[in-house]
Amino acid sequence: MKVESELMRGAGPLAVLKLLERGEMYGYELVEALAARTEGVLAMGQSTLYPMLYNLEAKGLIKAAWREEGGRERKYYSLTGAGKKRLSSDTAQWERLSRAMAALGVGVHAGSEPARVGMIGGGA
Amino acid sequence: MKGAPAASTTPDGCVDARGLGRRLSNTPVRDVLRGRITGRLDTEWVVGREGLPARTEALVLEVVRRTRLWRGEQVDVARELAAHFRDAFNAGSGEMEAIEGFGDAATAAKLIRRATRRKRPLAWKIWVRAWACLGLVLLAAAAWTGWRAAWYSWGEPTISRNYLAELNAEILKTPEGERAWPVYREALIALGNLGAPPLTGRTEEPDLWTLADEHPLWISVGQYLAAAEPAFERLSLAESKSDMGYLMRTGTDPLVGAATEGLLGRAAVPEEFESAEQEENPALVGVLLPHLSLMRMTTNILSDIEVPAAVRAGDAPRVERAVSAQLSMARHLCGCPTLIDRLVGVSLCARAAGTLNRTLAEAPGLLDESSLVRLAHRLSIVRVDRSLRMERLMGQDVVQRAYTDDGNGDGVVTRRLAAFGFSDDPKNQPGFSPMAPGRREVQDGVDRYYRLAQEHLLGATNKTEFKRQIRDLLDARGRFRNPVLGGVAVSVERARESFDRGEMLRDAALLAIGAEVYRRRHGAYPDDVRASIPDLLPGAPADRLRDPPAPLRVVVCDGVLTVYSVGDDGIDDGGVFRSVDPRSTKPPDLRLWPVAD
Repeated sequence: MKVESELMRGAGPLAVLKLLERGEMYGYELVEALAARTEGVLAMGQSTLYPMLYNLEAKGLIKAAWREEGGRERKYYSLTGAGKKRLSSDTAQWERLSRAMAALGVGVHAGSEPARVGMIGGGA
Repeated sequence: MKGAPAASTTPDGCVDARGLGRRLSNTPVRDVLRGRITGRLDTEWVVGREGLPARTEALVLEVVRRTRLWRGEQVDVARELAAHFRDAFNAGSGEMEAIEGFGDAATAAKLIRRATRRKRPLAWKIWVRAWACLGLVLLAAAAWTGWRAAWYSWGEPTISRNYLAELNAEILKTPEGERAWPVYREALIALGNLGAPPLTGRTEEPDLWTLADEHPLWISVGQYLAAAEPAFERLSLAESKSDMGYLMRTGTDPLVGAATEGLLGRAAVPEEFESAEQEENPALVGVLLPHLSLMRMTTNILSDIEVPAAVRAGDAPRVERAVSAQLSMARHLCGCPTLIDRLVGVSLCARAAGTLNRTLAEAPGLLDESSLVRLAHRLSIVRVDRSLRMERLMGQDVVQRAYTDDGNGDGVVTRRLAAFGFSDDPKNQPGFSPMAPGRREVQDGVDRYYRLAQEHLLGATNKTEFKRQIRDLLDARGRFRNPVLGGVAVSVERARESFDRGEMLRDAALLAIGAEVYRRRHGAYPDDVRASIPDLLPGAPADRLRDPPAPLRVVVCDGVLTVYSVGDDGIDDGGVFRSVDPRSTKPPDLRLWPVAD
């Protein structure tokens, strides 16, 4: 089940920042990781991912560099200092939001779908 | 661009098969300047190197094309998308699956464009914002221009006042029996019915003052004057009337028009100025003054035909009647509402003074002392009304006919302004301008100009001060910025000069008559003319060209009395009226008596 676009607007960048926390990744890797680690909940196509990456880059939260690896050229993205700070603050906010929603009885079921995006990085 | 492929080989080591022209057209100038024909801006080539299936390659190129980004940015996006698809295919994805997973191409292009533009340098963002602001300003200006153009084209003024009726109502306050124009009208029509006079003032015509008694022209002159006698008699009856009483109108009185045709052989005013019918509320600028041509011509007939003939016949009462009639016309015109009437009045007064001067010179003893005193009294009551009220009202009338009225004294210009035809030159016609001042500003400008002009005409300011005062009403070429003033402003400096000179001429004639009466009583001119004739003159006539004003200069040389002004430079040259040096630009003195021809 995919997430509504309104929710995805807030969750998507945070999820991408979280994935890049461990190290640099290129576009296809990010798509695959998002789909695999969130069991398809946060899966997104190129038409969503790349504009999001360019926005994060414009805001100075990530940086990009072309590099050749294994005979193939790819554009690798990595977190900047500002990106790390944003990830930290957004994660804290997301946790507060999750707790608040849980207090209301939303998202408290233990199921196949993850309740917190913060779990993305932890599952790697 | 970092990681850009080499110009001649693909990443796989293949030879770059593109032609030089294609590579050159896809190479940044910077690379060309470095001597490298990289062709790295070639999006199709960059995508093609990934060896993607045709539909996928087309999708990437379509997305990139739709982004409408800079070429370098397009190449960057194309490489990344192509690399993504290649990774997907290498991972085992099918083409259909990869294309469906991509999402909508148009949406992707729009989002990529928006996000990529955010990455652009600050200087570019400022540049774009500046252009956007400029665009907004231009848009606002276009909207403003459109709005003003709509008002200009379709706006209609509200004509709330009938200035002509108001002015005529004031004229009608004078009792009918005190109005001179009805008397003049009858006399001038009678004169006009006689047809062209034997002399019409052309330079090649003989001068009756010096014409031999046996000259055959005297026969036709005699016949004409005999026929004109009733008209002259009628003309003299106007002398007792207090005011001119001419009711202004936009068309010519048909009988006056016919009289003008008879006397001048042409219409008093050009046909295009004539209105087919009298409007209820016509524009004040359309008022015609056909009586002026008739009165000028009549004055000429009196000066050039009647008076010389009367002098030849030794008929002093006829001479006095003729000069008196001229002075009456001058007095009545000098009290009329329009400046043009008064300027003509001043010139008729000068003509009368000249005729009297010539009479005294040609027949020194013809007019007796009582005649001279009577003429002096008639001369002294020719007073110029220096009010510019009519001209100011004319400006207000144009404003109400050319501008809309928002009810609060403001409004915008309409096409009606151009219809006034203020200039013969189409380039100088007031036309549409989005920055044209509004009604209140124009009205204030008209009122301000006429307040200053009035002060100048009354002598409160000199020429330099007046020019300084109206400087901000003029543009760089010295023309009025105010479109209404451009059409209705009068040449107030020349009007003042004409009035000043006309009044000085009148005063000089009075001085000369006084001196002549003294000479007849005492056998010679007095040593101090002004001091010796206090019973004939109300005071020492002023030289209005001197600042501050001082008495006119009077000298008697070889038995000839001369009255003069110091002239435009305000310097007394001792009675030098023409510079000896023809190259001299220094204004000489201005002779007032004897009256110059």
